[in-house]
Amino acid sequence: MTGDRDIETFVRRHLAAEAAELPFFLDGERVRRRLAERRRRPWRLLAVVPVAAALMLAVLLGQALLAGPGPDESGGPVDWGPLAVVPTAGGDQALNTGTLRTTQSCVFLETGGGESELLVWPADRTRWDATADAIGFTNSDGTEVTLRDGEPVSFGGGGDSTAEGGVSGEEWLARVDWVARPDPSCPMEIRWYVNEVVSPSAAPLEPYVVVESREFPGVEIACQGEVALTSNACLAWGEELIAGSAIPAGINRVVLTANAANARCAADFYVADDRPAVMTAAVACPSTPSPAGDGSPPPLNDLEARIVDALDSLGVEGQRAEYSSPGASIWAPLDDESAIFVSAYRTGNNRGEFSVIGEQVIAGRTVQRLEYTTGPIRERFECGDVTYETDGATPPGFASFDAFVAGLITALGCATA
Amino acid sequence: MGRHRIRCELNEQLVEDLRARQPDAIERVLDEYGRLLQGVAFHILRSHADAEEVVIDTMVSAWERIDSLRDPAALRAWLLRIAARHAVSRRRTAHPTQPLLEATQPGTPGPDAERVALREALDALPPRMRACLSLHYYAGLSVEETGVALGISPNTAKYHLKAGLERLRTALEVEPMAARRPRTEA
Repeated sequence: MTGDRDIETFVRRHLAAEAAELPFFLDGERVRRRLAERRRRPWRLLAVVPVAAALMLAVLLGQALLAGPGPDESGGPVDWGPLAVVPTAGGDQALNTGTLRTTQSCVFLETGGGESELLVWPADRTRWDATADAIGFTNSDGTEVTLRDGEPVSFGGGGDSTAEGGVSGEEWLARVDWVARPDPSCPMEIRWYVNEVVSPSAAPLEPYVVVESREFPGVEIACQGEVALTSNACLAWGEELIAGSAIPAGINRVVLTANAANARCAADFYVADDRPAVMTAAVACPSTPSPAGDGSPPPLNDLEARIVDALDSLGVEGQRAEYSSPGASIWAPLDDESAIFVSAYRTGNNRGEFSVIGEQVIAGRTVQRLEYTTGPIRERFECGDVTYETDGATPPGFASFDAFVAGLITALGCATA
Repeated sequence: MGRHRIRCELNEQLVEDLRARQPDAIERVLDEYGRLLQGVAFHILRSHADAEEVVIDTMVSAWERIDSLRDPAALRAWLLRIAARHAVSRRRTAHPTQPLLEATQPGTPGPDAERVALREALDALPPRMRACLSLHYYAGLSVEETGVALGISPNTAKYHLKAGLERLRTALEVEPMAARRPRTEA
């Protein structure tokens, strides 16, 4: 067993063998019994934190009272168009992302998984513009958002579904106190109550760091947002937060968001991946300050830019793997899902214990082969006061990894031969 | 191409029958995809009993939510997505069972010993990482489809796949690709 392909093949075969060795006893009868059991269970609402929801509801009701009449100020009947509307929003803040779809009779969210989720809007913050076929929405912080068919959008809110609650679309339709009922033809197996609209122009937030907690086994910590954090900073922030909070039991995932120059931060707590967050809270921002301070990921430093440019000249597209200023950590995914890694640091700042297991001269530079206590074997060379290390797969167009190293040394302006 | 068309037609028929509440539709979906779903669930949970429960949960969800599946051709990926999410969310209650795979002669190097080592390395991975590895390398989903199945971005899925392989390689004390190149000893 040696390279990437070998381990991939080995894993593929092992997983197939494991699955094939499992006895398969299931039949439709067991599924039908489970379905019958579920039908006997009482209907339950989506899990939310009652106190947080009540507080949010109180705030929203207060806002509605202070703001006076909503969209029907003229006193005439309100045209809700195809919107499904309830009196006011709940307090849920789970994030749901997809594409907004408006038809003549329905407004729903089309998710990446190909599901259609009926959107339910609060009357006190929603308007339907019949002339533009657009939805006007007021977020709880007062910002106004206009949404149209086909726009990518993220909603804060909460949902339930027939699968989760055992309530069919028809039953659900009959139970809700409607301001404007959805058309019976609308998809109603999954219902999403809109509470906030994340700016459609904003790039969707994605966890860019995902780490397993060491202090709290079984809890995954994900950090996202505008402020770049290293894995260690994310881990430290998450564990500090969990340790110092009275969080609900059974948490298995915490998603932390650091926004607006590290001044506004939030945490979503999950007990299950396929359910909305059970609690959302404003939290203290990470003690590690933003490297940039302006809320955006810091620009590439000189070393990072130098490596990215060098890779680019070799036909390889590099990008920051981890913010490690003043050093650099760049990776370049290749088409076959393998990758190249190049890191750089000031000479003398060695990264842990290693053994030199080989040495050769490439492009006039002494290139050492290093074996660290963990991780792959790396090639290392010095150039000026900077030490470079690289490992990974051989990129297309190079006969060997040594040939790539030769190209990299030359592209970095370090060749002496 | 022909095989793909047959698969599409089969999926369309299965979806149509599920929507029509055909009594034997559950059996036929189980026949077609039950083992696949059980395999993925087992890879994530490392427990046969829990994997069975996940398959049942998946079938219940599919039965109840089949109307939300717009493209019948996507039935396989849709079922995998439901199963993976059920499995990952079930992980807190999962108890590893006695391993099915044992080395024929403990201590003897060879394929069995290697597989036992790999199994132990898989046990040590985070469930979401195992889910990515199973969906990609066992179920054959692309990186993008794996991300969609787990509700994570393709980049995050790619991260889990890469990190997962790296951890398995390290656990198996596998030499990386670089080590295959001819070495000049110091």
